[in-house]
Amino acid sequence: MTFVLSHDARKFFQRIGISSAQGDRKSTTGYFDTMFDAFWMCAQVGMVHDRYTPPPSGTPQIVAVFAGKSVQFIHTIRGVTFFKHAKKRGLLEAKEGVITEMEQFFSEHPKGMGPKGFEVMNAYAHGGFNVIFERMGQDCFEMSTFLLEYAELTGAMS
Amino acid sequence: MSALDIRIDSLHWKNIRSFDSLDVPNRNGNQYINFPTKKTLFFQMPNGTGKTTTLHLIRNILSGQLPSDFSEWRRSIGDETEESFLDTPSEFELRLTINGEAYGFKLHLNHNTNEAHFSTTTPKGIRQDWAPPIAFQKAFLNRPDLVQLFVFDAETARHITKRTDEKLLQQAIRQFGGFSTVYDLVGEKSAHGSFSGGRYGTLKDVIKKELGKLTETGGGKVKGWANARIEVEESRKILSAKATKTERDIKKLQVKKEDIETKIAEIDENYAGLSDQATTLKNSIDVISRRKTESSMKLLQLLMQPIHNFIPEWDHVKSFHRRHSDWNLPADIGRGWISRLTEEKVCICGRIMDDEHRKHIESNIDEYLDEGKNNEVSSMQGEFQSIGKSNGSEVLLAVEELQDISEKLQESQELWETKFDSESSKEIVEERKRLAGRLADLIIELDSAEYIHKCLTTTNYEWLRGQGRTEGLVKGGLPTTSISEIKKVNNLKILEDIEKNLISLINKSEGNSALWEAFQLTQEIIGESLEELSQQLRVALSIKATKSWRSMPAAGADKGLRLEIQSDGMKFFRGNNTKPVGVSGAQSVSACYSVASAISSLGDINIPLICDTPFAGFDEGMVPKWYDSISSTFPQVIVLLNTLEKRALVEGAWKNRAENEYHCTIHQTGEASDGGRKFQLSEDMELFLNLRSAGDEKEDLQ
Repeated sequence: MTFVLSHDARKFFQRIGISSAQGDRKSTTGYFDTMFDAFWMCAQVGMVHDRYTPPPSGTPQIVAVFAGKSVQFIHTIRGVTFFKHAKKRGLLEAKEGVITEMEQFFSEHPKGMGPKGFEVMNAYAHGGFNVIFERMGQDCFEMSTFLLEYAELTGAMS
Repeated sequence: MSALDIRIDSLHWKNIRSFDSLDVPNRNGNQYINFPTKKTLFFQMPNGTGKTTTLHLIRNILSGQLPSDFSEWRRSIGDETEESFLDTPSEFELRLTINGEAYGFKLHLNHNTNEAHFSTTTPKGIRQDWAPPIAFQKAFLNRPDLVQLFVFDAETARHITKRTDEKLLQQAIRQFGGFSTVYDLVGEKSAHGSFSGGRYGTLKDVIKKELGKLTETGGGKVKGWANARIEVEESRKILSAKATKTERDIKKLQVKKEDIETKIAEIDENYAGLSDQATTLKNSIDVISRRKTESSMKLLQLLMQPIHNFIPEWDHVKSFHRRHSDWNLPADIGRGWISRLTEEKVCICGRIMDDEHRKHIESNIDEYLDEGKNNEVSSMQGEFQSIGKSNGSEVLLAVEELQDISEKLQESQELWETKFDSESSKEIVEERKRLAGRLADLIIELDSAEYIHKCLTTTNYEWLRGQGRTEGLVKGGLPTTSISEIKKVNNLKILEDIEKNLISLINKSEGNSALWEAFQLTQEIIGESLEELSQQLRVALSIKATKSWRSMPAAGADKGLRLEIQSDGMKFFRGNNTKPVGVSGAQSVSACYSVASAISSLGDINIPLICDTPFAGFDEGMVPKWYDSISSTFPQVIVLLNTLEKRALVEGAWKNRAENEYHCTIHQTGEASDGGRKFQLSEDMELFLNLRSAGDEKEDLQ
């Protein structure tokens, strides 16, 4: 399994700019390091807004492991995603059930995820992008504008 | 032995009409006594004692049909001039030997509640329902009314010969010929020659209903779907052309936009080259722009960290992982799937999971634990042991800084534009303004074209839903099949899904259509074969029954008579004449005996004939012949006689036959304890011969 991101989301972030990829970058205030970083930004919003939307089959793959600046925060990213998953499954206080979920969720790869981990992150990223798009539309191509809106979306200043 | 051998062993009345309690034959204490094995049994029952009631009770028991109204069967007390009834529960029991095994069927009648039910004494015990053996049920399967062919009175003959029950013989032939269930399958031949109804009919109706539900086009569903596909094709052409044109427009607009941007940039560069102040300002804008980028990247770095985005529940996240750490959960990561692996048939290493391998895994499970995964989870939990929490201030500062820089940059740019306006020639300013205005328009046009293109081509249904552009998807997100809705579709992916759905529906229905035709064809082929078989059997049975009938007195006296069993009942002919003729009541009744006998032999059934006052309408001298032919036709004959018929029997057919018969008389002996008349059974031959009633006196006088 891999991380996936819809065509629309890819176009949205490519318009702002991805350093590691070619494309018509429009932002004058910086780019995302990798598409995975943009993916994580989407997943984070999906989790904050509880928008769990499994992507349709055939959604383009981006990468099979963490990449870009997100790698620095891999443990907290995995940790908070697993917390959200356990909460959704009603396993916050469970012991036995949570072990089974851990087995499926995590990977032995230092930058990877287990099958359930991919599934959960993809669903939150897909749902999260829709939240972003609903707020910002397709006119957002400036990184600074994106981030100011994003900070409000996640409530990071409160 | 026949497939079904039935013999009546005894009859028992309790609180029915004239009888408070009567057993035929009499019991020996509590022990039942069976009739002797003689073929013909004569019950002399004076008029008004319950011959017809007895016939109906036997018919109910043999057919397993509960009577709906049985108030007339209540125990009768008083006399003929002032009759009254008791509501005491009634019972009638018929004991039979069926294929060598003893059965007792009892009909229970509760007059207070008007409820009736059966109980059955079987070789395995008593059941509180009607429970004949399988062979009996099979013989009369779904056609209990056919029992009336063998439980006979003048009414039965009328049913058979008149049009009141014209299908009875046809059904009997099918039933005892063993193919009535096939008719259940194919239904009946209609007036226009095709078969309808039956199980095939039900299946065809279900399929037809599925195929025939109409759409707005007025055609069947399939026709509607086919028309919808044509509409999809038309819409696709239109939308594809629109998407291609929009793509071209976008490219053109982009080229124009880049051209104008280049021209504006050239003007700006030329201007910057003219003024030191402008150059300084331009440099300052560049510096602020870089600072804005740095500030953005700093904010991005913060916003990528979960600690700043999950502030309200961050403590829960931490305690969640700390708790797992305390429970030492990572140490067990992997144990579960390895344990489950032992339940598989094949191990991941490819080896068959036998007991030896299963034990090996279980005893070495720790060696197989996923150390890598364990370490990853431990590291993650460790991170949550040491990590702090955010109060939002760090992000707030970064946001404020970015906002400040953005404002400064905007101010500088506006200042630069103001200076540009004041320091440049009017033509250049005008040109730049014109270009900027055109650029703004182009951006709007481009956005609009890109939006239209996205609506046409996106595969993201969630986005389309957000835009309210999901025309063609019905409630629940399923593709429409309606032509009018298809015309409104504005997205190629939705159109594609509609087409896929239509193709699937049409394929499925084409299968159903083929199935319908197969059912239709099979129904016709089997039905026609059955009709041919029925016709052949009717002819064969008609010949056999005619032969038997002619040996009977009533028909035998009228040479040249023949009977035919036709699809709509029994008809009589004389010689080769094809025009039906009428026959006497006695001839008609004896024809029915012949037909019943012929049909029972078809089903390999030995069933008694029970007849009520069979000599009605007989001329003098007919009784001996009737006697000979009937007793040779049926394995057991029970004849319910009144005293007048008894006299005809005795005078006409008695001679030396009496010793081969069973005779009994049911006669009044006084008053019962309930106030009604008391009847008893007597097997005394003298009484049988000499009993007379009021009707006999009238006969004598005539």
